[in-house]
Amino acid sequence: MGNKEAITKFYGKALTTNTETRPTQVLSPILADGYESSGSVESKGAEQLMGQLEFFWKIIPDLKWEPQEIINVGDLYVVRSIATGTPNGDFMGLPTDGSKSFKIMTIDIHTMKDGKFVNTFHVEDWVTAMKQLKG
Amino acid sequence: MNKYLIICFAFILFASCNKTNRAQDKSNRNAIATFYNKALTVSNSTKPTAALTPFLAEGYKSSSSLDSKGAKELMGQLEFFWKVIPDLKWEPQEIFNEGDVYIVRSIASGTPNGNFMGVPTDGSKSFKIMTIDRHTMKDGKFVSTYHVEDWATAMKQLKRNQPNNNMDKKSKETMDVAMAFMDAMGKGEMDKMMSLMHDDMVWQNAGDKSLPWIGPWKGKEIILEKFMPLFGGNFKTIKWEPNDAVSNGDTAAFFGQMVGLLTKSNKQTKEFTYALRVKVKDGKVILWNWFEDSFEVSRAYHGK
Repeated sequence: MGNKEAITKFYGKALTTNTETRPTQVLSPILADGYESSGSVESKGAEQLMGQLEFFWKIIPDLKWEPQEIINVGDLYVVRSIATGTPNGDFMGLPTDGSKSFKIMTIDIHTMKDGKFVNTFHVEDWVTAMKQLKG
Repeated sequence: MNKYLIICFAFILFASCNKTNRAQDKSNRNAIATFYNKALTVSNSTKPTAALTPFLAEGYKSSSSLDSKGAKELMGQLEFFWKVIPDLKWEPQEIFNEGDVYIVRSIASGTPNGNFMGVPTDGSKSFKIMTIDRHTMKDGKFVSTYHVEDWATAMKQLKRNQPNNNMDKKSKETMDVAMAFMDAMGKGEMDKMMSLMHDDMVWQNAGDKSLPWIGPWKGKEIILEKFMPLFGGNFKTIKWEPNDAVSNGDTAAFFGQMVGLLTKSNKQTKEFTYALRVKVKDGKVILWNWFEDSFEVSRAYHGK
């Protein structure tokens, strides 16, 4: 599998809910050994990331992550996306009931090798999502 | 002969293009350095408007999730940031480009004092977050920017009831040891964890006795050899969000929210509140007393 194909799967089939597959099934073959996904304060391994996405799928049944552009420099792939969804349940400490949606920008920097994700730095505008869900 | 001439011209053209590209890249990176070091980082040699005006192209736009700002609005926002966050710092961790598009991943930090994004702050708490920006540059100027900052984490850090700076020496040492142990555990740094464990350490946790890691576990060796593999093999932390930390004398307490994955059943717990009581002796952890929603953990372990 090529790097671009792996990226398409990541966003189209693991970060976006669908009926054909599950995050763990999609991601297991495309996350390299020792994969790390880093946010501001913590790093997640492959298992933790897949666990978090399984949790997202449950609580945001219409979660969608749509890449707006993909920039490639060597092994680095930068993906700027629009993430949308309508959570129902306790979402990041906020009680939601499926009546409000969020729509935010996210930017990820992935290091890829041989069609697999080696590591990721990710930033999402969750503070705007929280405002939209409260508002 | 003609063939050689063509090759020669092509080479000269390539070399001169390359030189132009290098010169362009240099002036673009110079503008980027000014943006982060002189406008997004507080300095006493200039001000955001003075620093940025020469580097923002006509019609410049800076876009986030919801809105776009023009040059004036951006400079106005930064002037405000400088007032409310007098130690604001924006440190690029990596910068790379594909043609005119430059990606900058940074660590932004600061200690706001005043109303900051709706949170009242008093200069006693700081934030430290990751940001990623994607700039289009031309002739050493910013044409447009897309930016995402992890302000949600900053808000949590600013609201957190952090240990206050006035706590006595002993309480502070207790807090530092407990935090260092927690940090090493989170990163899986076994050597560091071991160096912070008292030989007589007790790991006390209560709950459903059919869960193999329920203690108490007494002694550093037992904890390392028995408890750690049992716990690590059965429980993966999916979410860990500390909210409050207090320390008094040899005892520290932590409260937060968490979600776990039980690997035997592959079931996740619902989010629950945890509490942790830590005692420190001779600079090492002697008690790690853990409180969780043991009913929820048991339910998920048994796949219910």
